[in-house]
Amino acid sequence: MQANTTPKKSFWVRYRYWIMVGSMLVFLPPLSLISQFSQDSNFCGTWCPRMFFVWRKGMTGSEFTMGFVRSYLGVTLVVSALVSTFFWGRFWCSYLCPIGGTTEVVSKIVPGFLKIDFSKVPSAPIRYGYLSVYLIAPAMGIGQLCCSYCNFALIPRLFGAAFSQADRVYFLWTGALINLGLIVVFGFIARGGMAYCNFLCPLGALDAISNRLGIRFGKRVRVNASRCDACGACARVCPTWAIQMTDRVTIDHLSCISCRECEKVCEGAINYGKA
Amino acid sequence: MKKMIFFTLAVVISLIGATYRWGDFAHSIGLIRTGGGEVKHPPLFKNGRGSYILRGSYTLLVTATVISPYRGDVKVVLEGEPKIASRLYLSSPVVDLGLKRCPHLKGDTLYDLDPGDRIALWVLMNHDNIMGKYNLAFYDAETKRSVLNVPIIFKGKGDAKDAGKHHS
Repeated sequence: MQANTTPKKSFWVRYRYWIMVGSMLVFLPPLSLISQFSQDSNFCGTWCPRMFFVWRKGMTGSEFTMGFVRSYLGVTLVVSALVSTFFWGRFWCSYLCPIGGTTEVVSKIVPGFLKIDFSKVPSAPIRYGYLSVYLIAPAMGIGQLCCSYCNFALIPRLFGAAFSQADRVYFLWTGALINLGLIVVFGFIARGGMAYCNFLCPLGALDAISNRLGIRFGKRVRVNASRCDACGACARVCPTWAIQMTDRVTIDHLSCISCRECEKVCEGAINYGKA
Repeated sequence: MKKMIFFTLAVVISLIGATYRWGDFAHSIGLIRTGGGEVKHPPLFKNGRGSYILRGSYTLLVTATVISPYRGDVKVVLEGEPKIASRLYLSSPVVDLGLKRCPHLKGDTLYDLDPGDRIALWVLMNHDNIMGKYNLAFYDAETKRSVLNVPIIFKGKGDAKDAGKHHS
């Protein structure tokens, strides 16, 4: 009988989905526990993580700074996410973000025949094409993508709509319905459930840069080539299609969210650690 | 080459999304203060643009901060002719855990506003083919004095350029 040499999976790997569900319970309605500390009921206002870093044409320096002050909890959240990502990988995106958590958990429930596979689409060019417009269009005064297509505005209200009239009203305008369509197509019915995060989340795009920059210093998901038999199981379960199978397995750290789903199915060739 | 194509495609589609404004929603930011408030981004709605799916339904979100020393109850009235059917909804926690005191809305009055409070008030207006100027007026319930005034403009089908202008 062959000895079991597979190392014991860590707490984060074993309980990832429970952590995600816990985060959804804490951040989203009906409890919205975190936002209630600041008199908010969702991610808009002091918790907004998407708007403060966008410079709009005609803005003065003090107005730009006031955006940071107004959304001080969102600023704290983003800075914490970026710093922790640099050292430990994308914990916010893979375990704690209730928005990506919702799309991923819902996609698990959706039957396989309904799912769309976006793995043939290169995610980084789309993500950074979107981020370029996200940052440059408001600076040039030609438009904005911040609130109209905001995943942090939509998902909490999707949960809140079951309980609150104010949240239901959000869905009574065309832009919100289009945003909902994007969440459904790129989230709920996407294979892995994270195509929206991978393509259209500006916070995720910034976090991915931090992840790439910290690759030499921080802990990351890594492949031990000498132990890999190129079975491809890791690539099949990767929700952000960050694993490429050529003659060997490579991980694209601009897309990897350190969820360690690959580690779960691998017999010891993939581990999470320093270089 | 494939990456370049997808990058360009993403830029073009995102630009279309960024520049096109749906005419059925606007967001205004205000300050509620004694002696009259202040509003940024007064809303402009455009008849027939944007509300393809929900024709005749316009949504305005007013987020406002209460500036010291104002405190009290505020009556919210949509003023203008012809009258528009409107409803108010205040964003508040579904399950209030009592971690922070929150103002509340009953009918058309916001109760219990204190300095530093922030409100997110949704105004749903249902009317097809309206044009002209309206005001979302906030009056102190006791003194009847204005504490904030949000001018709302409904434009006709001809002028689409600034329709649905809202804060990002």
